[in-house]
Amino acid sequence: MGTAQAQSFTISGTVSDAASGETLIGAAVMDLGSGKGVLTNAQGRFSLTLRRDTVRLRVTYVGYKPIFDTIVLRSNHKRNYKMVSSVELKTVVVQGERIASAKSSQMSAIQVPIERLKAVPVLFGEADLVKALQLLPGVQSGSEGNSGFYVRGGGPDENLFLLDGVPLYNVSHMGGFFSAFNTDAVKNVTLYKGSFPAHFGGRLSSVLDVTTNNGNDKELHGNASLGFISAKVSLEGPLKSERTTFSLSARRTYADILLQPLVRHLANNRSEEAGERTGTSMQDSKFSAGYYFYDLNGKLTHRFNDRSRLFASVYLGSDKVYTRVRTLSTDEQEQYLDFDTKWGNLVASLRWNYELTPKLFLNVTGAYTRYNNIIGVNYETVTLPTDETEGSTSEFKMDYTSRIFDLTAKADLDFTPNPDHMVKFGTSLVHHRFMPEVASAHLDAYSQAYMNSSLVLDTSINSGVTLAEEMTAYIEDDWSINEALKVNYGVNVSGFAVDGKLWPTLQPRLSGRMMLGEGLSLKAGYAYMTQFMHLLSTTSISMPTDLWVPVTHDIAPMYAHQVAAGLFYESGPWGDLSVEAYYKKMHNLLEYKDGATFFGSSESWQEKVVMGDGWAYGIELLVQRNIGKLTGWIGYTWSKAMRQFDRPGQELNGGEPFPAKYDRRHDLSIVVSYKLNDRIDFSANWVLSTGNAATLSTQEYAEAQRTIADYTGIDPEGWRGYITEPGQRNAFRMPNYHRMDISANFHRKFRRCQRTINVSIYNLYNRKNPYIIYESHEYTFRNYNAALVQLSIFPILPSIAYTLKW
Amino acid sequence: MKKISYFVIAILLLFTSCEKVLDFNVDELEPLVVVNSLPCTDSQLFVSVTRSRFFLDNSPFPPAEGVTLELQVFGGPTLFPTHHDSAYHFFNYIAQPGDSLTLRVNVPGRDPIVGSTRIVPLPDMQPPSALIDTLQPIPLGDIAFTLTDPADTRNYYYIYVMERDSGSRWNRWEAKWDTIDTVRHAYFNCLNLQVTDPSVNLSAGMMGYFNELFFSDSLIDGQATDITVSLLMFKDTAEHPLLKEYTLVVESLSPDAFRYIKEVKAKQSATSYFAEPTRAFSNLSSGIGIFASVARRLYPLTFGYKEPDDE
Repeated sequence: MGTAQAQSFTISGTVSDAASGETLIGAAVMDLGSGKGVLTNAQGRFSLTLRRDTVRLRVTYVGYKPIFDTIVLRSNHKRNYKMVSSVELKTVVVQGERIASAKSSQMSAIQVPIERLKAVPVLFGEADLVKALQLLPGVQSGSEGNSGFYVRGGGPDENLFLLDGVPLYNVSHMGGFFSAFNTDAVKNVTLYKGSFPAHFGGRLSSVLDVTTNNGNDKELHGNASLGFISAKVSLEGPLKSERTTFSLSARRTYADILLQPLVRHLANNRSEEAGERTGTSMQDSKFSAGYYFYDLNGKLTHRFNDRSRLFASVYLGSDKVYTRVRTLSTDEQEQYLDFDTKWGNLVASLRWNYELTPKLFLNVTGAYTRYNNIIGVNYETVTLPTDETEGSTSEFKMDYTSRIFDLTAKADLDFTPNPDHMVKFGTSLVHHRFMPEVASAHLDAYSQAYMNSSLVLDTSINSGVTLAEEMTAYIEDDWSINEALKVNYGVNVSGFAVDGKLWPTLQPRLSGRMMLGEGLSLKAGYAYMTQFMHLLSTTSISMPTDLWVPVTHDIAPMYAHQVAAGLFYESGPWGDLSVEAYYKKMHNLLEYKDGATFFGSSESWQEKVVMGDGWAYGIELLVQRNIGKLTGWIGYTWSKAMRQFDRPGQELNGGEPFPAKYDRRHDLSIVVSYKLNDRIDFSANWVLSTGNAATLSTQEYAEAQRTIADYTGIDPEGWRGYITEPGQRNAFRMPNYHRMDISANFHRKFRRCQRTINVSIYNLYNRKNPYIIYESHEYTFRNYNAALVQLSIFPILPSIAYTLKW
Repeated sequence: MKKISYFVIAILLLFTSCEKVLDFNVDELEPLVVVNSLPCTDSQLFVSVTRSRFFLDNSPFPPAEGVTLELQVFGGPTLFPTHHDSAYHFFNYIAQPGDSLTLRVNVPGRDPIVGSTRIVPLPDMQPPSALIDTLQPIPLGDIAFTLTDPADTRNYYYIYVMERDSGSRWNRWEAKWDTIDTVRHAYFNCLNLQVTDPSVNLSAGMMGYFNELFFSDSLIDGQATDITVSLLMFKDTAEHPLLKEYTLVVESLSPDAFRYIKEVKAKQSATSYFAEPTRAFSNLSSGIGIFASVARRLYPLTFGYKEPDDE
């Protein structure tokens, strides 16, 4: 009898949405008798081992009706729970999801419901996942409208963006005004700001884990949306049977198409004016220029049986800026100028999920990633022959290319021996191929009269390819020691082999939670993170010229230690409160040397960079209300982020500490949503933050006299120039930033579809927030006026978007 | 069409930028002492010592008061300036190739500013030939010369052509046009380098629109190199070349002078609002500015006319 009581059996399976078949991540499966429970993993699977008994399970997922299930446990059981959304049940109470939970052992992690992110009013009415996340404490935006991401004093390259588990290198569109994530394709978003679980690695400051839709397995659904600057369409549904589903989303901006007539008109006017000034006329001139970006997300899911699933997914995103000029002038000269810049990612992955045993779950992934950044110029001049002269041609081509190719193979296993332990372990191997700088120039000139021969110049600069292997193995355990105490501990072992050198790292991770009372918990965590690649940027905004480079034989990996502690309180219907404090120390941060740029030099990038350290600390406060018609959150961050580059020969700012580019003392965000009824809902947000730090050239001094006057007799004052001298790095503060945005959604249901009209206003009270500052020098009669001027780019911006969902 | 126009106007209005003048606290800035001297081979050495100005100020740079200067050649006796004119301090010393100089500027209440340089030799070259090619759609003035680079040392060169013309300049103080001579760098259409030694396979060229050339001798180290500079000359100048004065300038630069001039030019031509402001190179301890040597050859040009058969 005693043996029978000690016997345990496992209940395993999936939790999914009854209407769409989409698996639910983080759903709780709990035995009400013993109080033991587990959460579903990233594939919506769970495994709960309980003693032989009659058990009563409760399956909960916020926003869905709970499921209760009684099982007489005398053997292993398979259960696939299909949950019904409370919206479909037309429940009166609107319940949102918590974006941070008091009961989880994980701290500094935020799981944001995608519907809530979509509801946040944003620029041009284009819902943007990253910009919505910038409203959370500890996450800071870059400059105005930018989707740059700065977490707890880290740089924009210190964030790991995972799309279905595969890293994306560039997540910015349109110079950073939009992110690469199309919200229509996204199912789940989790942001880790610290206390990283051991299965994540490779970046210092944050992990943004984005999971895309698998596709509805019941029927074909879709939506199409027309916004201020872009159009989107999404389709999902079963292929043949419920076993195979697809999900497809596409987005493209169309400002280039709409503005093309205006661009041509302005260009023609300019060429006519130029012709009048120079006494020539352009007989024929064609000009076109524009910019666009697009995203494509596709996913195919096949369920072989309850234990085995295959996922094939692809993401393709690209930005392109182009200029085309064709001119034929009266002096019989034709000129052709093509200028193209394009950058983007391609990610293709194949994943296979397999339940090896009810307690052991395997996820195998193979992925290919390509990041491209290409700048190309082609200039051709053809001089037609005349009675007096022979013809000539010259062609100049220049290409600048930066590329990364990754091939990834990894295996992740989840092992749930009992409800008190949830073990994750796995390994991965990434083969990197970096081509960080390839510049090639080709000149071909032919002129019978002048040279009677052709001149060819063909050069290639820094065409080196760097191959590297990145290996990782990890193990972690989420251990419920008792009802009050829970810890997540683990270790991530990584190595980066490059240029005949191996950079090994051992990264311990620990976080724990102690329940102090009903809904009140204390959490603390430590994480050691290493990063094997850097993003070199000369600017404060996301530019295509930003250069991803790996560590090398001489450039060491970045690493950081971060400790954090906080209090979390869930007060039921009234709202939740969390306070977190953190301290982070970063080493081997990389910056361009003063004056170095990515271009215009034959030096390798390694000779243009310097290495230094940084530290950041702060306190984050989050108050949120998840239940009722009025939901939302208030986030506040007090923080400080510093840098110091004082290694011999690598000094910046004279070796003295200086504020990081996005050091901000205060950052406040208030986000509210109000659901008036099924047809109308409103949302609004207000942000207030300390102004950005900037470096100003505060002084000017005389350029050295080069004695040209000695032989020209010219007044030396007229020749002499001046040199600007920068002040302390990032010592100047731009004015404080604040802005309010509002939006309203008007829904209407038809028999076969639902229409939503979104009206939003960005920067409601037309605050002139600083985007850049510059010196203005104006000469007028007997007057010289100089001033420091701030430029604001986004005044009040109303927008409207129309979405049809079926 | 009207609707499209409204739409376009609406978009333009939305993107209309807003500008606002910001306040700046001037009191926090203490002027810097700036020492500048580019000793020129075979010329009298002079040094300017000025103070920096606030970056929104346009007044002339004030001379640094109360400073004393000392110069040592090969560590020999200390030389002092014979006289000074405003910020300019003149030494009774003519720079000779190979001389090693140390300059010390004593500023009351601060650490002395110290710099050193070695005087570089004049470029080894023959006088150039200058021919106008009127057969091109835009006439070109071809200036050809041979430059011989000394072996075993890293040498730096700076080549440009000064174009002198009479013109007018707006006098903003008196609101009138002044007639002045203008001197500027003439623009090149093409520049070719060809090493004369047939055993060395080097032929490099540049086409485009540029007005100076900086280069190190890494490609032509120890070689005699034929250099052709093709100037852009408009038809009136080509037909009457004496309307303007052209002077070929070929300079040898010390490594510090090369870096200084290159960085200053890069800074002055930088236009990106987003780029981090940078500090120009200085080889002085405890101060800013430059003390580095330059050797310059000047060749006033007299153009002939090129015949098709010349090639």
